Amino acid sequence: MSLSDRPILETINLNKAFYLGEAVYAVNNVNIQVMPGEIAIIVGPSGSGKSTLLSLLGGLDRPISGDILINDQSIVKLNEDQLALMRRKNIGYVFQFFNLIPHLSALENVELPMSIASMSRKEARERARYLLDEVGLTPRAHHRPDQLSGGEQQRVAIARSLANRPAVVLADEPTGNLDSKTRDMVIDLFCRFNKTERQTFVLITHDTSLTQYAHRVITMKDGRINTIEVQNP
Amino acid sequence: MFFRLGAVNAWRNLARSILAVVSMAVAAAFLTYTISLSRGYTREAYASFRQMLGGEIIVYAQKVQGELPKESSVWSFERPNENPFTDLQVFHPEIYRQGYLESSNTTIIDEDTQNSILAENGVDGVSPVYRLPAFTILTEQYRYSSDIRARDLSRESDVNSPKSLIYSGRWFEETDDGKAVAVVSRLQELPPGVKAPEPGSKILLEIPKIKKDQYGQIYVDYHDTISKEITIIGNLVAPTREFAWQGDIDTQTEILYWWTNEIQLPLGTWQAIWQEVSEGLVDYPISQLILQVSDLTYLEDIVLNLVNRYPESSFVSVPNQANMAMERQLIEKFLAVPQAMVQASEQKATQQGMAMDLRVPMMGLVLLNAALLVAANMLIMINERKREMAILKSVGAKRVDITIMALTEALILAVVGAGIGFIVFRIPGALNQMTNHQGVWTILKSVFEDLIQVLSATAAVSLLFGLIPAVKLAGMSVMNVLRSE
Ligand SMILES: Nc1ncnc2c1ncn2[C@@H]1O[C@H](COP(=O)(O)OP(=O)(O)OP(=O)(O)O)[C@@H](O)[C@H]1O
Ligand SMILES: [Mg+2]
Repeated sequence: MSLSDRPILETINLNKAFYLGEAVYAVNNVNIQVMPGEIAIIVGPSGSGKSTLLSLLGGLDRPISGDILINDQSIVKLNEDQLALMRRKNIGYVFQFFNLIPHLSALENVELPMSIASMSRKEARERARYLLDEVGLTPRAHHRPDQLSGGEQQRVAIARSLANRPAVVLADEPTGNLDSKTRDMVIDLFCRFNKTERQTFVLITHDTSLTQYAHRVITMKDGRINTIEVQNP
Repeated sequence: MFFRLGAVNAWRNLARSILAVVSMAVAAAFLTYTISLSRGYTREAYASFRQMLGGEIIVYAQKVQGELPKESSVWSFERPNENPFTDLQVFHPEIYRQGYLESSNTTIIDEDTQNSILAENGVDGVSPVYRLPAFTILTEQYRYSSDIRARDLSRESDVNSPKSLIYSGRWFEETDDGKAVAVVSRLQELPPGVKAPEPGSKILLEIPKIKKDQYGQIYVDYHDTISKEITIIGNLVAPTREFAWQGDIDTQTEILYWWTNEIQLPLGTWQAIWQEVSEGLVDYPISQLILQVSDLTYLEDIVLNLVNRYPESSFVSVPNQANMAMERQLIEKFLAVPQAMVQASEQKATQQGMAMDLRVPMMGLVLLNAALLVAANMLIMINERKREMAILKSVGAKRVDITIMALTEALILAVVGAGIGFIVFRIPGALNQMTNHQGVWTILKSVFEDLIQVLSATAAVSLLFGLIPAVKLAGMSVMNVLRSE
């Protein structure tokens, strides 16, 4: 496998602060690079700024300073609509708290990004079924989120993030609610897509056993990057 | 895609949607009602005209053609045969014509025709118009021409009796019938310095005799008169419209009134006088009727029906005529209005006649009400849809998409509501039209026109007032919303 030498994701002196009387730097001068086709894992104690960093990478939130490059293109100056288009094409996002649309079925939730990207209904349905099958939810396809367990909702969210074959999948604790069997299934899926579709994955996790699958392990503490280890899984 | 999501959303929160739909239905029902009224009229429309006349529709035995010359400010009418027993004064004072019995043959509306008109749908009463020329003798010096008109008290309802126009004294009671009492207008065309007779005063009427010549034609003999002493029991004042003009400093307004020398008598009293002046030789030639209609909403439909059923006669809707005169900015004479106004009347360009009619403000209020409803509904909706908006944006939805989704929901609620309100309120109207013998196509066409009006008004209002909340929703930042959940 030959990785290109330019990173697909890069941050330069990235800062994000929340003002609660005084500034709390959730992301403090962060410089990271993720190469195309990598699986990168972000670990760190609770409150260290992992989720905040991920939302910045996905263009869901705005930094106070610094730059974010996706395929060497800065996204911090893009307007809301340009960001939306960028996400539509390049980013699949799994939220820490799933965020499924409550009145749509699992299948429809997975179809959603594809319909927004104006894929034909038939094609979208086919792919949604395929992805739900991949996460082991075929029997639950027509259930609404409130009829699904936390782990099942999480898997729907994972399937949704893969829908448009995004170049980069950003996932916030995607295995947090899964038992070991479904966790292995999801990890296997990620690794497979990583290899076959050359998709890049950035995963946040508390589960240190996942680091064995990663090309890059980023450790955060108090909003800063502690260590970055590059390895061969 | 986003249309579909909007539609799904409308069904999802059913309780809220039903409330929104019902409230829109109420607004639309009012709107339907007002739009139907714009085909017809409110109870109050041109009330003073109708009350002075004693009804809503004037019937002439013959064809009366009235058309306003384009460049003229005077309402002119043409009558194929001069008919002294009718007059068109109500439409515009300018066309009032002096003189009686100039015509040689008078068409008579016989009793059978009167009864068959009464039997027509929508017609609640028929009163023949009884008029006679007369001279009022106020004092030795002042003798002026007027005419005496009978009021058939038994056929007048509260709606078209001029009771509410009484300025001083009172209107007739049943017991006045046959007594020598009269009600006159407070405002009359009199020589300067002469006041109209007030309640309690007596006037002397000089009434020419009505005779038949050797060819059997009736005529008025002004040289052979009888005298009658009459007690005035009431003065009327009939406002017709508001007049606005540019004064020295700001816009001034004044109410215009009807000036008339008509002397109104109870029917029994009038008949006794007729017996005397005609010496029992001549039947009164009834060539004009006044019809009473209680449901003004479909007045024009009723008139249309009558026009089709009695092609040889003329039917004139009083509100319609007043309306037309109003639209062409015809105004009353300024005989006794303040000097400032007389001057102002020469500056035609700044004149405006304003109808004393509540339809336009009512329609506006109803629409405003609907608009506020939509806005309130949308504000609630924004809160409910925040999370969904954030999720959609996170998977690539643009601001336009979110706006479309929110507006679709608002539009569906508005249109479904408006549809329900329209159906509920328009069905009775359509039934009414059917009983008025209107053709199926006429009814369908008017229903369809009304529907388009109601739907487009509610849709326009809901889009307009829904737009700001929808855009606001679309502009919210994803993480701010998701974090606060
Ligand atoms: N909206 C906010 N307002 C104020 N402070 C915030 C906000 N969001 C996050 N923070 C703070 O920023 C810091 C980083 O939060 P973040 O959610 O990124 O941590 P995390 O590493 O994802 O933690 P966890 O592992 O528990 O999910 C925390 O101290 C948190 O309290
Ligand atoms: Mg987190």
